[in-house]
Amino acid sequence: MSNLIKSQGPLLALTGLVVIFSVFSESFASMANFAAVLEAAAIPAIVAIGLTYVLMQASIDLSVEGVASLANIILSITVANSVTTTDIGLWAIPLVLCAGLLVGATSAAVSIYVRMPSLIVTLGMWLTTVGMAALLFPDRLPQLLETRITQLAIDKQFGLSWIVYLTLALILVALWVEKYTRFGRMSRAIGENEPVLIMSGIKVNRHKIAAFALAGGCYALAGILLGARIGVGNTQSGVGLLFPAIAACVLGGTLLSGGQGGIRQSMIGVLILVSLRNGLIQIGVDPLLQSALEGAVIIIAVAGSTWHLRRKVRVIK
Amino acid sequence: MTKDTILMFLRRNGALVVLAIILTAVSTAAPGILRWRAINSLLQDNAPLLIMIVGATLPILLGCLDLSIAAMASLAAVMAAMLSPALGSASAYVVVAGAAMIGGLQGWMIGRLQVPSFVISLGALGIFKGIGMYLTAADMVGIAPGISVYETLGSRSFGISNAFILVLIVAWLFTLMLKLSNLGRNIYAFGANEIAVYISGVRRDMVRAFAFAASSGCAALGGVMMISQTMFASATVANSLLLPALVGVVVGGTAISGGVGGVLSSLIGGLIAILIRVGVTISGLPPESQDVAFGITILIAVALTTDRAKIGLVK
Amino acid sequence: MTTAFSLEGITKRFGEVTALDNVSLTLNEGEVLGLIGQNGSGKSTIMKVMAGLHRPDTGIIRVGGKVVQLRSPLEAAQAGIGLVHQEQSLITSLTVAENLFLDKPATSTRLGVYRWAKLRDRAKHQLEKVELDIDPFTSVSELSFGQRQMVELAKVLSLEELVHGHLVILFDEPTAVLNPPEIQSLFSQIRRIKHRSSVVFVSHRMDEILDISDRVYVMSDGRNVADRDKENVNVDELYELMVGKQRVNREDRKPRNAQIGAEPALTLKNVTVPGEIEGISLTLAPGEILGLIGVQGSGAETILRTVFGLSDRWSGEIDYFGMPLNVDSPPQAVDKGIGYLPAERKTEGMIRNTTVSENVAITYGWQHGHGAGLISRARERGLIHNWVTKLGIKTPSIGQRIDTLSGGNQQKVVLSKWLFGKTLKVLMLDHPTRGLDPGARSDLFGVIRELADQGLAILLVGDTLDEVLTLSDAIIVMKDGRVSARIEGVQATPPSEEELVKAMV
Ligand SMILES: Nc1ncnc2c1ncn2[C@@H]1O[C@H](COP(=O)(O)OP(=O)(O)OP(=O)(O)O)[C@@H](O)[C@H]1O
Ligand SMILES: [Mg+2]
Repeated sequence: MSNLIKSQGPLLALTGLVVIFSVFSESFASMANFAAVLEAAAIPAIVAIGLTYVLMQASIDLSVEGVASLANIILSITVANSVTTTDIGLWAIPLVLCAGLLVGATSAAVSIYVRMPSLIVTLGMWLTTVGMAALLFPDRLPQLLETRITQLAIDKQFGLSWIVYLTLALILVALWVEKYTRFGRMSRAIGENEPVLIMSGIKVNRHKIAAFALAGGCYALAGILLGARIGVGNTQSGVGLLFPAIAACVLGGTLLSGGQGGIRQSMIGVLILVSLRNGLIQIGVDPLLQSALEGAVIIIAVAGSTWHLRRKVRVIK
Repeated sequence: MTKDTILMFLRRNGALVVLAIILTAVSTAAPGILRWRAINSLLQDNAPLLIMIVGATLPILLGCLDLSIAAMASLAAVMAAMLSPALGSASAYVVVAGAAMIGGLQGWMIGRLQVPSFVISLGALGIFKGIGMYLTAADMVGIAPGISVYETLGSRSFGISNAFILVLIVAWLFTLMLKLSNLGRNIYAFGANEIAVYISGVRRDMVRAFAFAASSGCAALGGVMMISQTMFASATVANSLLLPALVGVVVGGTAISGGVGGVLSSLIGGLIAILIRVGVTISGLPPESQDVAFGITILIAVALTTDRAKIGLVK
Repeated sequence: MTTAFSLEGITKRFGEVTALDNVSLTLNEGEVLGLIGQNGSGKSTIMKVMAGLHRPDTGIIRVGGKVVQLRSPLEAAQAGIGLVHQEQSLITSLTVAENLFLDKPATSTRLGVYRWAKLRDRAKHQLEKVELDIDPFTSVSELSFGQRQMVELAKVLSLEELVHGHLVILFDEPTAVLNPPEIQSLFSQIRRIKHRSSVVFVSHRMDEILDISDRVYVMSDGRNVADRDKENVNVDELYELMVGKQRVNREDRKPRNAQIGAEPALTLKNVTVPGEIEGISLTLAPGEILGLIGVQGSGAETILRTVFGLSDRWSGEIDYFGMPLNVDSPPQAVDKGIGYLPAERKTEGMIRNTTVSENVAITYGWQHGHGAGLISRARERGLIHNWVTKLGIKTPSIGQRIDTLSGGNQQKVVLSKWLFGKTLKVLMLDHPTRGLDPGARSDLFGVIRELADQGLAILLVGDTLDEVLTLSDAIIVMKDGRVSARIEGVQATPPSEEELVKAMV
């Protein structure tokens, strides 16, 4: 039992939340509500996947919101839309994903070769991509007329949109990459002890660039799916993605100091956060107090699920 | 002077040099900006941001991060406004002292609960924001008129903004503390290797509590400065200041990994960031590209001000 | 004999420090070269140059007669050169198998995807060589210290399959953290691989050097001062070559005339740390040096850490000058006058990225200050200089970053932090001489005795039997977390080493 608590703290926290909300609210434990939770979790989960690799390597990426907004704008002006005349059809998707990869790779390259902390490089990249989104923004709000994209959010199979299925598929791929590829294994090792890897002749920089690029790709995908969901191109579409995603990773046990956690843990973190938001509304908490309760629960959940790790000789930061 | 010593000077005083360059650039582009009145109102407007930058430096020197400062500044503004009819000037003191205590509690909890500062302060951010919203019902709160503290903070002595003078005094006190006291030594050493410092007998929980008390207290002071200028508070007044504050600290050359930097350099970093903003605004660039220009210029500034010889691994 | 490897005229500078000054070295096929020298004399630097970790400023490197450039550890590995590090270099979150092939060309992956079955087979084979019976997919974090050292060894030995020609295997103080049986097993490995490799072996223990080497190469101040066949050397001569003075070690044997206080400074009653030590009772008096010995994992270190407030859970009673100690964290212990020199220098001892002087002054600097929490760097500076001279710390200045000192000198800096104050009453030393050269060791012995003579109570976990026998007034032998023997009057009637070993295992 105590072993279970130790290894599965976040999972237990999630179960606890679900049980509590189910008891205090009729509507929480319904099929429709679970579907709503999954829909709400999908896009944050995609962002968290990208972020997890970066965090495992003990770096951080703050450019999430900018990249997602930029992706959303690029998508909306290159597919059939109500404002511009360009229409490259579904080719817009690889185009946008490449833009995301490129932004991520640039952040990493600047951080590595100019020797600047990723926190500050990606902060600059955040501002820069927000600015680029504003630059590309046409005069009016572009409506997405490409139905093959908007259907992703509208078309439902077994009560869930394609966005959810796409996310699930991506999670499986990410889990496989984490476990079976050299990149996945080395990412965690980089977080734990980078100097030894450098001494062992591992091309650490390549793995770092790959992680940031993949992360950028994930944020861009999130931007595309946001576009599918809201049906327009908006420079503000990515706003609000960053902190929940980081909080989710940390909640799941992916430490900012690197070397620990993983995709599975981060996904549990996303579910904790989304169920919490959903549950608090269901049990009728004053919306003004919502963020206060969320904050308190984040602290309690992390403290509770890592309580067994407490040691006198431990770096916390 | 040999080439080496010049390089050394540039490396040590990168922030000052960058400040000089930007000041020259901005004033060449717009000579009006160098007029005393313009500078003074710039400093007055930005005093809340600058005091937050000064405070935020201390946790970062430990290698921690305090994400709650902007939310704390907003909450402090709200509290001070609400308390001002009843307490008068004391409302400002009570709020700043209370904030310092709450900050201290945050710092202490990091060690006790062994939860990273990032998480604790992220949670605190949510808590402060929620309380502020609840107290104000998401509305504006006015401050009672004619209270001396707020009037003083909003006015000038010898032609200089009082708020900015207060920023300088606080920054100077912190600098003395860091340079001359045992606590200051412990803060730098803590940032370099927490465990070894603990085993050397340093009270790490106290050091952390102090740093977070300082950052929270300064944030609250920033909130008080804000309402003394606007006479109104809302639960979100200062929320947009979190990132500019962190940017200021880093532009000043304080390493995010801890152990390197200082309060005065952060202050200079803050001024650099403010001037870059001004420069970008008057540059005549279309408004849409100003963010891009700001982002890139900030990156260049950081690249120039960071003393890479002192930081080990870059993460 | 054919030359397998040679360095010619190698110079390596770090800023103002010349770590290697025109050093030449040849290594014949199938020989073991013992490399000795004082702390900071450049041993690790030579090894790192040979392993492709440092590029020399001048000089050439030949492998099998051909001039080569070793630009990275990978290139060195391809040339058949492997290094077992002074510090552990395993990644604990990876499996043993992954660690084994970490620094080798990637042959167990295809297009970046692991072929786990192949990896397992190859790893199994390597582990058999060092007689380590564990699943290759165990995570390194689950291994014991000794097992990890064996994995390090296997990691280097896997060069045997990878490279066809002759191998050069480098060991930088491999025995510092091993216990006697493990050392013997390491030596038999070295003898086994001799037929197709040359070995360079660094150690501060002369008996080991004379046991394993065919030739001895002595470094002093970045220069080679002697290169002799084993037949032509003896311990005293080597010592003299290294230090340039007579071997004072003999003098250390002189029994100490300890003035041991009547009241105990520290009394432990029935102290238990679950899983580590059980029912430990002991007393330590002012002026006494109490030596603790036992094999790795016997719990001797845990006693020190518990007294210093570092154990997370423990039970029992600790009295301090007749009063309950009530210490739950290092700061409290330090307030009471207890000091602790940790064995893990890198993570717990030195404050990386700061200067020598900040490291010395961190704990007690304020005692030399202006009061009210204000410190006086000027006053500290003079005192720090005293300790640097007294302990013979080799550093360009006290403003030097501690990371750039050699291992032994770092250790001396960490020790001086405890000697810097005025209030210390009990000093606990956990493997204090780990990594120290013989000269530094005997300096340190002198300091420890002097401290005891001044009335300090000293609790010591020794690196070797010899060390504990030389220093202690009383010895406690630990086995499996319990006290298995307590021997009094060690200075007057020293017990035999056999007697101690029997109690240990
Ligand atoms: N990266 C570095 N930067 C600056 N100086 C260095 C660096 N590495 C080594 N040195 C210096 O070079 C000299 C030789 O160091 P080295 O580590 O080779 O000594 P060593 O013989 O291995 O000592 P020990 O027995 O203590 O391990 C020392 O004076 C050390 O301070
Ligand atoms: Mg060495």
